[in-house]
Amino acid sequence: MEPITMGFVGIAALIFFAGMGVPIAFSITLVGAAGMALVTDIDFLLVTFETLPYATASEYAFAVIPMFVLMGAIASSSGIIGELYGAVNRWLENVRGGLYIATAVASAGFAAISGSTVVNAAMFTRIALPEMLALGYHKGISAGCIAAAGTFAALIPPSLTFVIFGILTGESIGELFIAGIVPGLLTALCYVVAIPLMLKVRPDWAPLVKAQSTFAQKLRGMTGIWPMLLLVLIVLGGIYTGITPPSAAGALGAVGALLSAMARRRIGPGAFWDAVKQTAELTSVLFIIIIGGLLFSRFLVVSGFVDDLTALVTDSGFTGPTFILAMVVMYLVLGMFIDPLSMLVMTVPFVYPVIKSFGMDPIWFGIILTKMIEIAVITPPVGLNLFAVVSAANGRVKTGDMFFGVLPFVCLEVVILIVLIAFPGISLWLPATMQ
Amino acid sequence: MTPFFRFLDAAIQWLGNASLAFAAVFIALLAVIGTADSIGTQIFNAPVPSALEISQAGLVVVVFMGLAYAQRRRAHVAVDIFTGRFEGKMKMAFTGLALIAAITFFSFVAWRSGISALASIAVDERSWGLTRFPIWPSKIALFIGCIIAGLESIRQFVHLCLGNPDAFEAHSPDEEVP
Repeated sequence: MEPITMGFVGIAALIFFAGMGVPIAFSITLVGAAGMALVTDIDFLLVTFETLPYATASEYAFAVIPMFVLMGAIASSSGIIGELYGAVNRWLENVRGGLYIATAVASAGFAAISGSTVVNAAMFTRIALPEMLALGYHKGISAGCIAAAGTFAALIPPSLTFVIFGILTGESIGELFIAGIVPGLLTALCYVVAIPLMLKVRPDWAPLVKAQSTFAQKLRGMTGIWPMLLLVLIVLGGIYTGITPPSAAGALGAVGALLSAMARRRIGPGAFWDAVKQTAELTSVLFIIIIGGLLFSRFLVVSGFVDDLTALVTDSGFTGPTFILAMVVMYLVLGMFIDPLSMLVMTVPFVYPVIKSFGMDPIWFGIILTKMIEIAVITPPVGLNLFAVVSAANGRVKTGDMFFGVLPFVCLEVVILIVLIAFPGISLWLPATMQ
Repeated sequence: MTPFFRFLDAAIQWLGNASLAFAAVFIALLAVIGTADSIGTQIFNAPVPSALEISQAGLVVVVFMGLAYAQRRRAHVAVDIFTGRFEGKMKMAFTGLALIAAITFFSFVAWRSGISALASIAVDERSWGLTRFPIWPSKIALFIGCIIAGLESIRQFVHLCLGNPDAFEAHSPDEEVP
């Protein structure tokens, strides 16, 4: 069988088994293993199974995953989101749609200590949605805003998407983290600007609420969030200056979050145990997906599929920009049906080599891919964040409201994506200044 | 279910809890060592001896000792846009297929990692560096983690075959964990 046919059969088999509900880690590993057994001798496959799981799980650079997951889990259970949201909200309470903007700003802040978009969306649903609905905000737009703002966690470091992309491609996780800062903040800024503009057209989506807090109360509200700001500064500052590698920065962040929560009596042994269990579970789940992705990637390389696909794409008249456009369409369509992690692991092994063959910057592509994943998690009918919000809303929001309410934010995200594609410097200038 | 199978069922769950406890200890260890090493290196110019090697070994323990717990909670990422719509026997068939894939995966990795662990023990494999940190314990942890996760998958498959597909989900409340 021709390598290109073999590769496409492998991808089709993967999609088939994943579609049958077989967890992506097992589908991708077993299809990759079967493919390798067919294209190489069986000894190569056996040796790969002896070495790859251990080599992947014992790579110190990948300790960044449990450390940042732990940091986010401790921060979530210590109530920092409530404090952050309350502090921002006090400053915006006399602005029409202040709660939407507060959600966007606080979500961007929490994204700096949490790498999970789903956790972000679910937590803000519990904290912000009841207040929005009580004040007469539009149900669908409120839910849509929370779901969309939750995606900031994918772009603002420490992002799990960057970590997985970095592991699958061998790109620097630290550089990806730093490259995500400006696009992430730009996205949050676009929300802050676009929400008032949207409300000028549809003022009925958010009533004007009279200011209640005094200046002193607004200042006092800020006192609870300084430990988090300090933590973010230490973690990201350490990575940017090169003083600490991402894994060590994650360890510092986790211990810092725990000490800060303990000092403020915001975490007990039970909550800490829950955070550790959550970390163990997510770490195991992510690593076996990554191991499967690396195995599948090896199959595509040794079968000759990657070389043939790269040649096919370049010979068929694709240029860099047209290929990126094709990728945008592919990821947006895939994102409607497949969860982002599966999408990432299934596509990066063959998309990444083609991107490199066009001479495009892989770090920039990581940012664009992450932005597309951000859009995917809020695109109906399968958007993880949409379901996270509907589920955490406890019946307050219906799926139909959610699908309508998220549309303005999907449009906004597409505009931001176009800007990031058109101006790669937005993503690349900060990592270029790294030491 | 006979008392013997009930005992096996409880024993596998106990093993899963114990391996999770191991993973939890090593998560805390990774955080503490990473922090101590960063502060020691940057402020006191005195890094923690073998910090890198301990962290590498610890990460292996965290990844593979947490697997049985993830399997018990059915936390693995799956695309359920089509299969989520089915009920009854069709749902059981898809669940069965997923469990057979899990059993195959864990058995295969356990088999090859077991061989790798035995070879590592035979030569007393240690890391290269100033401190010759032993590597074989983490290879054993990888093997044991896969075995326990495989047993957990088999336990779930047996429950499925006995006609109670929700039993293994109901058997995994968080408070069971030590």
